[in-house]
Amino acid sequence: MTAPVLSVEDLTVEAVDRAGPRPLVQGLTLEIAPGEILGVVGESGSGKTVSAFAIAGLLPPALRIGAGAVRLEGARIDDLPEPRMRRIRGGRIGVVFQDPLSSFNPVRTIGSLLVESIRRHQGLSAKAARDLAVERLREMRLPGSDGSVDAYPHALSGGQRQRAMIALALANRPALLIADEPTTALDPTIQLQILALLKREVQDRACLLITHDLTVAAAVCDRIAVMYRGRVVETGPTAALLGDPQHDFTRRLLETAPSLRKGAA
Amino acid sequence: MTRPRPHWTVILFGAVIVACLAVMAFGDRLSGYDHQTMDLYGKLAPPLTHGHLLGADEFGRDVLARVLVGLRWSVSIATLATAIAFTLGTSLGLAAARRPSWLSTVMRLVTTFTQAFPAFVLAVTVIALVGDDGFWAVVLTLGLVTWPVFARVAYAEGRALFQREYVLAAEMMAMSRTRLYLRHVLPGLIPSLSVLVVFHFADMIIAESALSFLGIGAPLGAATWGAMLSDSRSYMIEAPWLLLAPAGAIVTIIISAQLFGRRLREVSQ
Amino acid sequence: MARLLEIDGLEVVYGHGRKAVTALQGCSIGLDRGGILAVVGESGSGKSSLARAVAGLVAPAAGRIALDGRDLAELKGRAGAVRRRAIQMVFQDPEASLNPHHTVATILDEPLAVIGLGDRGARAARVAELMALVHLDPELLPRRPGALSGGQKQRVAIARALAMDPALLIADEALSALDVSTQARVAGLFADIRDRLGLGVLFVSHDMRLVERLADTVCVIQAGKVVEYGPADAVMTRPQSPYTRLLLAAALDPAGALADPRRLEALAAGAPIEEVA
Repeated sequence: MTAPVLSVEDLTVEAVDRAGPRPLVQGLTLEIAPGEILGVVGESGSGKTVSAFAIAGLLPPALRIGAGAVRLEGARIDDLPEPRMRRIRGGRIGVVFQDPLSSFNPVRTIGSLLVESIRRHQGLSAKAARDLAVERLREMRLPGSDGSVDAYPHALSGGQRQRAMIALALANRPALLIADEPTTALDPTIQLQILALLKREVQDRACLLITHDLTVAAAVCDRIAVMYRGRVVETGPTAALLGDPQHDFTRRLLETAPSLRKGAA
Repeated sequence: MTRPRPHWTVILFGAVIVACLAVMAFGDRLSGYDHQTMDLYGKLAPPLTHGHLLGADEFGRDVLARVLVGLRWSVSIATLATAIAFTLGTSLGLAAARRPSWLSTVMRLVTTFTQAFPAFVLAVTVIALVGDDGFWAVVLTLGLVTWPVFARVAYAEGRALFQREYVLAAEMMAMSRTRLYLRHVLPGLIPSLSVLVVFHFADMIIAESALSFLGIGAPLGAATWGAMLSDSRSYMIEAPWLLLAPAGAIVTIIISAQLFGRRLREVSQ
Repeated sequence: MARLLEIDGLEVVYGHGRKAVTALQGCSIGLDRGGILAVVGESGSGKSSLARAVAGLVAPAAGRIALDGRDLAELKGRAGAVRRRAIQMVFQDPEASLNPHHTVATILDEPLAVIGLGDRGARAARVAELMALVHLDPELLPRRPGALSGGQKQRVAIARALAMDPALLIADEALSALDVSTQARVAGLFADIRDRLGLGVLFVSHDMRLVERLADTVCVIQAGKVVEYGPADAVMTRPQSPYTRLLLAAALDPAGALADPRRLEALAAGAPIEEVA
């Protein structure tokens, strides 16, 4: 077996307030191999987004990692100082968020963000970085011969913005792609396009897909981990997990998606 | 749980309000003098001499007594004018906000016009045209000239509020209009309107003082802050207290109201 | 006997003159008592305009909406508004649906007071009934909406609508802001209410899975036009319109749609899903 791109070992994330630390995620352990998509499925408050933020080093100040280790390509990253983490994020880790409109700076063009990221991580000249940005945007099928490189976020449709976000996340060919509810804000038909794009672009990367929607996870993931109240309650290859759910919560989730049951049976 | 101590601006404004209420109740008696009595030996007496705490004017009248009487006049006018502007502006603004109608068009025109045209100049013109002055003329003029300030805010926020789902749900119950406005719409406006009331009160104090400075409104010879400021100009060098006493009163009320209003706005946001 | 709701040639237009936008046109559908009619479409399709027109929150530009055979356009003024109480609505956003200044008890008491139901005691008894109907703990009565979960808020909103004793309940994306398992429970509540109270439900949603669970009639709207309308079984198993087929594939079986590498590549390239299927 090839070495995992991401390995998380017994990770605990806690909220720190006046009442003392309160665990939000407990004992999270997972591994993602190259070319593999792992889906983390759960409801709001289950800890799935907090886990993703902890792995990407994006925890807000009120939260902290209490215990455990996060390793990217074999090296620990959970204890890195922020400047070094910033170099890893955008470089070795790409992140796609749920709502591309609020995650983009409204006064900057899509291209300028891409160019900045490419230059910071690859040290290219402005001209070369712009050419690369156009190429990346065109790969993601943004409209125009220049891939809408000079477009502002609000000028794009929801699906196009998410394509631009994926282009930005993949700009420096990261080893790990983290996608947090990447299609939740989109219409079902556009959702399918973005899922197809994600699946195509994973290639030999590891991908962590956070979603509340079991159907979405079933569509693209190789393995699924179900989170409930801060813990992974069930994990396994997609077909096995859907075909023979062990945990009550997984069964309840399956009840809301009848076609998955039919497909698995 | 202990209640947090109120912010100092709240204490300051509260103290000013309490002082105002006391003066409203007792008037110049608080100073130990009648504001019209002339003390022949105390003409232009400096503060703390001849038994005058804030000195006396060119006729030997007690300055403190006159400031207190002036406060009664200014604060009553500002309060009533604010109440009229609030009631009129809020009702018209909300009525126009509920659904597009001729009233909304009129509302937009009026608020645009009054925004471009200084309310104070309008007030002076109205009083001059009516040719009548006195307490109620000033109150009504200031109230009727400045209500668009409230109408504009009530209209803008009301329009958003009438799209809120809980207000739509109330509409679908076909409840009485009074109930709809009082229980569902108005409470949502209280944060911004209460801030506006405080600022407007301060504006009305200034407007009234400016009117009486010009000799409009108050009867000739009445003790108003504007008139006192106006009269003090001839004695600015030898008797600066004639200027400083009414000016200090105005500044105290305005600053405390402004600080309180700003604090209120921070809290309500 | 006339149907509970009959919509004929409904058109909804926003704005005037050159800036006018037609949100819905030529919409003709109907609903009986005890039925759940789902209106399905993507954002901007005009499904919410339909809901709002039936609710009387926007005026139709053309067409007829009749409740129990009576044209809603004839229900004017105060008397009309009172007749329209037979139509109630549950909105999408649980945060905005309840007056934040009132307690649950006040929120549920108000409609009863408005329709003039008995004295305080009778109303309190009815409020308790309503709470039981939507499976809420009476301990929540003194709380304000801020202290409730999303699912609890939507249940209160449903109870408030039911307090008016409506004949037609409109649910405008009423479940889409909720978590999946909460969604399932509140969806069950709609079915339960329909069975117990025999009212008609106009269920507006973009979520084919909920529609599949709940509806007995389905109307699919695309770009302001009804592209499919029929019994839920037929629409779900033998959709006639290509657009319905796509919605179904995208919502119910994305795995199937992505399984074929050629389709995956075409979708990823942004091919309109219509061309891929």
